[in-house]
Amino acid sequence: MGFLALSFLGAVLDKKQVGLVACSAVGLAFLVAFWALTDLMNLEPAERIGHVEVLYPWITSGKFHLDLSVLIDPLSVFMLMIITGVGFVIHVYSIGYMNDDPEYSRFMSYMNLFIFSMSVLVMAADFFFLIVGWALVGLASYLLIGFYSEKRSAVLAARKAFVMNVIGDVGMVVAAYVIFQNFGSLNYVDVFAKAPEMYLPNSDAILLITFLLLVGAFAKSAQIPLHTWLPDAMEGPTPVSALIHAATMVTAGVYLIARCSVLYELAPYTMYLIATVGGITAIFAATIGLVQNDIKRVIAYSTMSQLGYMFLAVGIGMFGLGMFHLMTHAFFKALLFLSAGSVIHGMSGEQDIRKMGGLMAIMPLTFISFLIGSLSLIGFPLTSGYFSKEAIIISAWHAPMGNIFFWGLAVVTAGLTGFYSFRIFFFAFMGKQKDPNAHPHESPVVMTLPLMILAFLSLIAGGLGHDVLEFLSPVFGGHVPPHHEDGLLEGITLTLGAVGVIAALGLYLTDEERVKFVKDMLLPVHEILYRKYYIDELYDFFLVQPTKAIGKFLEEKAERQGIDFVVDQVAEKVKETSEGLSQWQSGKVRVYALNMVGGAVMILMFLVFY
Amino acid sequence: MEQYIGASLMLLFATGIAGGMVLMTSLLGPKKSFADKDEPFECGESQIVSPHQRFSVKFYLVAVLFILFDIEAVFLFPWAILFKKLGMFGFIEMFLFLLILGVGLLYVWKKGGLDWE
Amino acid sequence: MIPAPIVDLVSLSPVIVLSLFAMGVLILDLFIGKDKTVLVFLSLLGLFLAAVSSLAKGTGPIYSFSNSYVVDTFSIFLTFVFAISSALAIMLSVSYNKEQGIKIGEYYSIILFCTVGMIVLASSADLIMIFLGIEIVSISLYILAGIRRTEKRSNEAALKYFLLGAFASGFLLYGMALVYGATGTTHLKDIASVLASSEFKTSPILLMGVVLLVVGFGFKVASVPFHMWAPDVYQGSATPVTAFMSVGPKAAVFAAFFRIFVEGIPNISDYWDTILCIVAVITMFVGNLGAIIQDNMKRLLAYSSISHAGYILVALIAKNSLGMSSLLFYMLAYAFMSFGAFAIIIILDKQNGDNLEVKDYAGLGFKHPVIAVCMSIFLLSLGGLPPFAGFVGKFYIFSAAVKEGYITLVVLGVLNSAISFYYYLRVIVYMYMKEPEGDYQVQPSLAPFSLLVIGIAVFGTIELGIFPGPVISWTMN
Repeated sequence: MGFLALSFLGAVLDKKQVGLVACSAVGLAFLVAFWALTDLMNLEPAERIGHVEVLYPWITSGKFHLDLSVLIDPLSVFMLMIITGVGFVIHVYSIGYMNDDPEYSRFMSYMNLFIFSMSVLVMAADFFFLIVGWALVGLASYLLIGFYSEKRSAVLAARKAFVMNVIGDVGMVVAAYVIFQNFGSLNYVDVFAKAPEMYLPNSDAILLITFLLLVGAFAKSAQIPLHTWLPDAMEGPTPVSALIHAATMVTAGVYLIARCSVLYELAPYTMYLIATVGGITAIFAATIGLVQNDIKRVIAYSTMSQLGYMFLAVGIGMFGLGMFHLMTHAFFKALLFLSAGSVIHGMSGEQDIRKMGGLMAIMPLTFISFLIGSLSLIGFPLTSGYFSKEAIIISAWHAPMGNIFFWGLAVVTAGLTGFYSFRIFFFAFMGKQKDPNAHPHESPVVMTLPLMILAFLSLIAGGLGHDVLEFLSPVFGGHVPPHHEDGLLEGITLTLGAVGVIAALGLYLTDEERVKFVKDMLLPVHEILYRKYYIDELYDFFLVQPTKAIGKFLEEKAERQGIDFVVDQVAEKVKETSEGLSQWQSGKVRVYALNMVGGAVMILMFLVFY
Repeated sequence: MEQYIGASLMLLFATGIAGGMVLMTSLLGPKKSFADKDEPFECGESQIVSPHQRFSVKFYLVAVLFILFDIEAVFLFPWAILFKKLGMFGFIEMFLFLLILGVGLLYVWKKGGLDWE
Repeated sequence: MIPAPIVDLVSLSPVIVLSLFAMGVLILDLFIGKDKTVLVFLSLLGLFLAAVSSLAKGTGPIYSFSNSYVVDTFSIFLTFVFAISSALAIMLSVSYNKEQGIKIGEYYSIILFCTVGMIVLASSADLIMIFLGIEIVSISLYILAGIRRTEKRSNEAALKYFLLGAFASGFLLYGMALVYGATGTTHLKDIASVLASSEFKTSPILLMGVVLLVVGFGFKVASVPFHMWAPDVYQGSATPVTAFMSVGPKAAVFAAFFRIFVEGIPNISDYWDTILCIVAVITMFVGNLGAIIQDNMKRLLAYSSISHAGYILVALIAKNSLGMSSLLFYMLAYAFMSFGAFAIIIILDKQNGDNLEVKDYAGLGFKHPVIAVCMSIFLLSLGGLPPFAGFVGKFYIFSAAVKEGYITLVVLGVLNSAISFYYYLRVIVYMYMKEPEGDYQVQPSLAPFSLLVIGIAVFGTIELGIFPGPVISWTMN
C-alpha cells in the first residue's frame, strides 16, 4: 500500500499544461483512493486503523525523528475520497468554466497543487506533515483566490485569507511544539496512545494543545472570529470557490478535530467551546446571508453556517456525524457553487442576484441542479442534507453533551437557511428577466455534466449515512453513535425550514413593494446584517490601524535610524575587509609561496607557544 | 674501522681514476686553442646569446622521454637479481609493468614524439 | 622465496577497470579521427563499470598490499562520488571542448587517470600510498589546468598550480617523513597504536611533521592561508576542469586528510585540533568575504568553493562517526550543486568561457526561466537552504560538531552561511529583479550532454534534500 500512496502522490504532482492531464491526474488519484477504500473495507473494522506506511526515514536528530509516511485509515481514506472525487468533478467543470481564460494552464496547475496539498494534509501520519499540508493548502488557496491578479479586490481578498490562515498556522506550529514537549513525538499513533494514560481530562496541557489546534481549525474553517476571509475569498474563480471554500479546504478544521478526537475527548471544556462557537457561527452567518446580494457571497455565508453545524456536531462529541455532514455538504455545496458558476457563466460574469431572473426556462439543467442543491441545503426530506442535518440537530438536544441552547441555535439556523437559500433561488430563476442587456444561455455539457453527477450524489448520499458512521467508527473509539429518534424535534425543524421557504416565497415572488416595506421596517437590522455585524470595521479599527501605526513608527525610528544604519555599517565594513583581502591576492606566485611558508611558520609558532 | 676498509679502497680507486683521467688528458691531449674551445662548456649551443632566444622544445621532449624510459631499466635491475626468488608472481608483475610502458611507448611513437622533424 | 603480497583483486577492481579504460582511451585516441565522441562514451562506460565493480565485495574492510590499501564503506562511497563527479565533468566537457576548439583526446584519459588517483587516495591506509595517490591526482590536474594551450590564462593557471603544488608536495612529503621518523612506521593504524603510548606524544619531530602535513593538505584542499592559488587557477582553467577540480580531487584529498588525522594521529589531537579550528574558521571567512566582492561568476564560485572547504573541515574536526558520515554526505551533495552551478555557467557562456559577470545574468529569470530556476536551486543549496541537499549536509556537519562540543565553531559556521547568502542571493536578485544593461545578450547553448548534467544535478540536489535517509544510512555503516 505504500507504493500505492506514492504513485498517487506522483500522479497529482504531475502538473501538466493541459486540462486533460490535470483532470486525469486527479481522476487517477481518485481511483487510487477508491482502491485504498476497497482494501480497507476488506479488513475487519478493528484492523482498519493505524496503517502507517513509512515511505522514507527523513531526518533523525537526537530525540527528534521524522519519517515521510502516510496514514491509511478510514478517516483519511474517507477524506481522500471526498477530496479527489469532488475535486475531479470540479476539475472537469473548470475545463468549461475557465475555457476563455488566457491563464488556463496556470489555473489548472494551481488546482492540482491544491489537491496535492490537501492530500498531504489528510494523509499525514504526524503533526509535522499535517502542518506542511496545512501551510501548502493555505498557499494554494492564496494563489487561487488571487488568481485574477489584475483585480485589486481579488488580491486584497487573497491577502486577507493568507493573513487569517497564518494566524491559524501559528497556532498549529505552537501546538506541535507543545505536543512534542509533552509527548516527545509528533506521531499521531504515539501521541494518541499516550494521551489518555498521561493526562486527566481537562488537565492544563491537554487544554492548551486542543485550544491551540482549535485556533488553526477556526482559521481554516472560517469560524468566528476568524471568519472574515471566506466571503471575500469569493473573488476567486467560481470553481475555486466550489473546490476550496465549500467542499474541501474549509472542512480541514473539522477534519483536524475529528483526527484529534482522542485529545478532544480529554478536553470537554474545549469541546463546549467548539460547539458554542459552531452554533453561534451557524446562526450568525445565516443572518448575514439573509441580505447579501452577491449570489456567491450568499452561498459563502451558507457555507460558514453549515461549517458551524459541523463544529457543533464534533463539539458535542458526534465526530462521525460531523464527518457525515461534511460529506453531504461537500456534494450539495459544490453543486450549489457550480450551478451558481453556471449562472454567472451564462450571465457573462454577472453576480448580483437583483439583476437576474427568469432563468428557469433558459437554463433548465442549471435550474434543476440549483433546486436540488438548495433543497438539500435546507434539509428537505429524503435529500442528503436532510439526513445529516436532522441527525445533528436532534443530537444537539439528545447527545450526552447536547443541550437546548445548542438545539435552539441549530433549529433557528435551519429556518433562516430556508429563507436565504430560496431568496436567491427565486431571485435568479423565477420572475422576469430584469436586465434587458443580458443574454443568458445554458452552459456547455462539460459544465452541466458535473452538475448532474453532483446533483445525483446530493440526492442519494443521505442513504449512506449509516454506512459512513460505521466505516468511520474505528477511528472514533469503535462505537457507532446512537441514532436518536424524535419525531417532534424533527417536525419543528422541518416546519421552521418550510416557514423560511414560504417567507421567501411570500416576500420575493409576489411584488417588490412588499420587499421594500419589510426592508424599511427592519432598516437598522438590515443595515447591521448587510454590514456583516461590522466585524471587518472592528478589525480595521482595533487591529489594522494600530498595527499600521506601530509599523510606521518602527519603520521611521527603529528601522531607518537604528537597524538600517547598523546594517549599512556592517555591510560597509564587510566590503572593506573583502577588498582588503583581494589586495592580498596579487597574482604573483612568489607571494603565494611566501604566504604558505608564513602560514607554516605561524602554525609552528602557535604550537610552540600555545 | 675494519668494515670501512672496502669503502675507503673504493673511494681511493674512484678518485684515482677520475683524477688520473683529467691529468692524462691535460698531459697527452693536443692543445689547439680557438674561440669555441675557450667556452666554459662545449655543446651544440653557443653560450653567449640573448636570454630571450628560444630553444627548440624538441630537446626537452627527447630528454624527458629518455629519462622516463631510462627509469624502466632501473626497475629491471633489482627484478633481474631477485627473479628466481620472486617466482611466477614477479614474472607476471614485470610483464604488466612492461606492458604499461609499452602502451606509453606506443603513444609516444604514434604521437610523433620520436620524430625530430 | 619471497612471498607474493596479499592482494584482493576483486576489491581493487575499480582501480584496475579505470586504469584499463584510461589506457584504452589513450590508445584509441591515436587511431580515430578528429571526432572524439566515442572516447566520451568509452570513458563514461569505464566510470560506470568502476562504480559498479566497487560494490563487488561487501562493505567490510578488505586490506591489500601489506595493509596499505583498504576498501571499506568510506572508500566505496567515495568511489561513487568520484565516478559521478568525473562523469559529470566529462559530459560537461563535450560541448565545451567543441566550442573552445579543444580537440585533445588525452583529456578524457587524464580525467580517468585522475579518478584512479582519487580512488587510491580514498582507499589508502598508509602514508606512502597517500602520497602516491596525491601525486597521481595532482599531476593530472596540472595538465588539465593547462588544457587550453592557446589561452594565456590557462597557461598561467597550469604553471602557478604546478609550481605551488610541487612546493606543497614537498611540505607533505617532508611531513610524512618526519612522522615516520618519529613513529617508525608509515602505516596509519600502527602510527595510531604507537602514539597510544604517551612517550612519543610530545616529540618535537612529530609535531613538526604534523605541522608540515597540515600545510601540505591545507594547500591541496585550498584552505586559508594556503588557498591563494585557488582563485587564479580556478578562473584560468577550462570551466569543466574547474568544476572537476573543486569537487572530486578535493573530496579525495579530504578523505586522506581524514584518514591521517582521525585514523592515524587522533591521539595527539590536542595539538592539531585548535590549529584546524582556526584554519577552518579563517577559511570560511576568507572564502565568503572574498566572494562578496567578486563580479566574475567563475571567481565567485571559486571563492565559494574555498569557504565550503572550511565547512568540510568542521566535519573533520568533529572526529566522530557522525562527522565522517556528514563529510561523505556533504561531498556528494557538493558534487551535485557545484557541478550544476558550473554547468549553467558553461551553457550560458559559449563565447569566452570565463568572462561572464554577475550583471550579465540580469533578466535571465524572464528570458530563460527554466535555467534561472535551476541556477537558483543550486545557489540556494550552496547557501544551505532547505529543502535542498546543501542544507541537509550542513545540518549534519554542524550537528556532528555540536555533539563534540564545538559550539563556537558551529556558531561561526552558521554565521558564515548567513554571509554566503549575500552573494548567492545577489545572483538570484540579478536574474529576477534587474533589467539587462546594454545589448549584451546571453544566448544559452543547449547541448544535450550539458542539459543532462543539469538535470542530474537538479535531481541530486533535490533528492538528497528531501530524501537524504538512504544515503545517510549508507554513510553511517
